[in-house]
Amino acid sequence: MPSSASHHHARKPDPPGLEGIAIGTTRFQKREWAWQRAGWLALGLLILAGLSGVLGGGPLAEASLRNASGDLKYQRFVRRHADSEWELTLRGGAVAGRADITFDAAFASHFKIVAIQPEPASGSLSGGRWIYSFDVGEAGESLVVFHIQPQHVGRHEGTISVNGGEPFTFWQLTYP
Amino acid sequence: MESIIKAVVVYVVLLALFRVSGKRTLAEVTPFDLVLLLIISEATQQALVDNDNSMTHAFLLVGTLVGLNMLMSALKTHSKSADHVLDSAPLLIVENGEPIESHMRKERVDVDDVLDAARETHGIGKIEDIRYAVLERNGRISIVPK
Repeated sequence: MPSSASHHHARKPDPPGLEGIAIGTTRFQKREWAWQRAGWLALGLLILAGLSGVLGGGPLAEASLRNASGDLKYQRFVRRHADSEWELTLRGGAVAGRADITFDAAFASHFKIVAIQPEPASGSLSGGRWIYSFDVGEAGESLVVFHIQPQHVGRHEGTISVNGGEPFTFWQLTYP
Repeated sequence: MESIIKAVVVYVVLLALFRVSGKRTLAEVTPFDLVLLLIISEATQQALVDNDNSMTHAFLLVGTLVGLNMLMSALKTHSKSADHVLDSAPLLIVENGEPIESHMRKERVDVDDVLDAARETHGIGKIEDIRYAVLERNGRISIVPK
């Protein structure tokens, strides 16, 4: 019969009494299930990314740099307006009596320094750079911790140098 | 401008999350679901408000969220497919006393859930006495007795 052939691919009719509402395995329902599965996968990936630190605050976010003046430990992936710690360990030989820690102008425009431990003896400006000066007593390693809040989303590069020596050059990705 | 973008992003992400989690997720709110809901709202609230506690900001956020919701309901009444995308569609899970296993599995519903609804709404105790059970878009199960 021609009519039944033309309806061969049509959806099963809605059961009597429930006509008119999309019921059964319609194309939409199958697509919805497919999207939901994809969504679960995306959710799983999000959680994995969170655990790994790619979204900030995890093993993959940890970064460290080393040069003659010392070691710098910081977070490669950070989130906007969230505090992150920068640990600068100064080598004894590199700083005698006084340590001038200089943040370049690019850094200064994207970050807010919330706190510095210990407090610097003085702070100064020089051509857009921020310079924090510390009195250094006995020789030996000394640790300075900067609590820094990224202010702008995106990838930013910057440098930190100690007493005008070879700078630490870093990049950091800030998430919204 | 930023507050409006934030409100839109939060609205869309939450909508997507709740659509992905399926119809049944918050159908019957258990005490734990309620706590979870509060935590979710608290977590998103922090991101939305950030450090701007001004009234202007609050009204902008609330205005954007309410406006989006109105826009969505307008879309839903205008287009059937928008309605399905945003709100899903009812699904038949029992036909003439026979559970449709594939549908139930996909929506994480079992026969006990159907019988629960059958007892509550019609005093029906057996699956054979159900003509149709439909999983509605809000996650509830409606029963048509034989």
